[in-house]
Amino acid sequence: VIDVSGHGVPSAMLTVALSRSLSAETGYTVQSSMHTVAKQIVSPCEVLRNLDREYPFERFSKFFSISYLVLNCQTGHLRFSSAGHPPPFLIRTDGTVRELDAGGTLIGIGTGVDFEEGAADLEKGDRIFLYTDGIPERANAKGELFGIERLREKLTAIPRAGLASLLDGLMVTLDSFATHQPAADDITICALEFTKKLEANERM
Amino acid sequence: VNIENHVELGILRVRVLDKRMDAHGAPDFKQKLTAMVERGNRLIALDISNVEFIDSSGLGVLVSLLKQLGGQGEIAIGGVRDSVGGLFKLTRLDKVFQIFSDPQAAIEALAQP
Repeated sequence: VIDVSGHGVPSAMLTVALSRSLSAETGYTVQSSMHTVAKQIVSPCEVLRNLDREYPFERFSKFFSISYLVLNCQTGHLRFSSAGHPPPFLIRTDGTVRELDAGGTLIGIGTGVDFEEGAADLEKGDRIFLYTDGIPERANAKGELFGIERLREKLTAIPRAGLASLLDGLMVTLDSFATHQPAADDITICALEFTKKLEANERM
Repeated sequence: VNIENHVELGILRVRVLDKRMDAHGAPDFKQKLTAMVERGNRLIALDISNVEFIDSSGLGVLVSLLKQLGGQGEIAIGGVRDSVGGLFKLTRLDKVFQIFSDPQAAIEALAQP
């Protein structure tokens, strides 16, 4: 998930360019190896380093935040790194929450400070939520913000709703919190649930 | 964005009078600060104690100021409220800018020899 600074057409143009930089065919995310036919998946922190080189602030007078994750769908092994982005939530089936907060500053600032990378192992039923700051910063008429805590409560509520109805419910909650005032910022949330881990003998 | 500014002891002191540094006020704010750097100011102490909210466009003004200085100057930001400080922490720009809750501390940071 990416959030480009500013609004309107210039920000949208950068978002399109970024989507190419992150596509498997044309981007940085997959690398051919000299020695084998197999393609290598580039690690999250390396992808962020590449983006930081390619999109310095000076180029478009824009920076962006990103949460970038690589999940092995067979083993459940997850690697992640973020750049100035709200940490994604990893929510286990028992309701425990981990914030996936490894990373560095916004892409384009060029401080020379490196991006850290984190890892986790998902089990069946574990959920990941990636979102943009438009959700916690949604304000009501009094100027009070929705905040991370309300978001976390909503996402960890027991009994667990299915992902689609959980997100629909979140949008309703946000709108009623904001007493139907229009959002000042755009909102993105992406949810995934790990449904099946393959045993070693079932893996490709 | 409305500001007050003056130079004292070689430090440009800029006080933001508005409550918000957002997309609405960013172009004007950027223009004002750019002009001050073009006039040769290199040490800039920003007092944002009135500011309750900064969005990505507001942050963009601070970053462009940093880029304009290009390592030939320093920015210290004082009067950073908790709500605004959270944003600097989240984006890790607290590693890029010198951030202080006390406006005077920002000036003193730049006054160090």
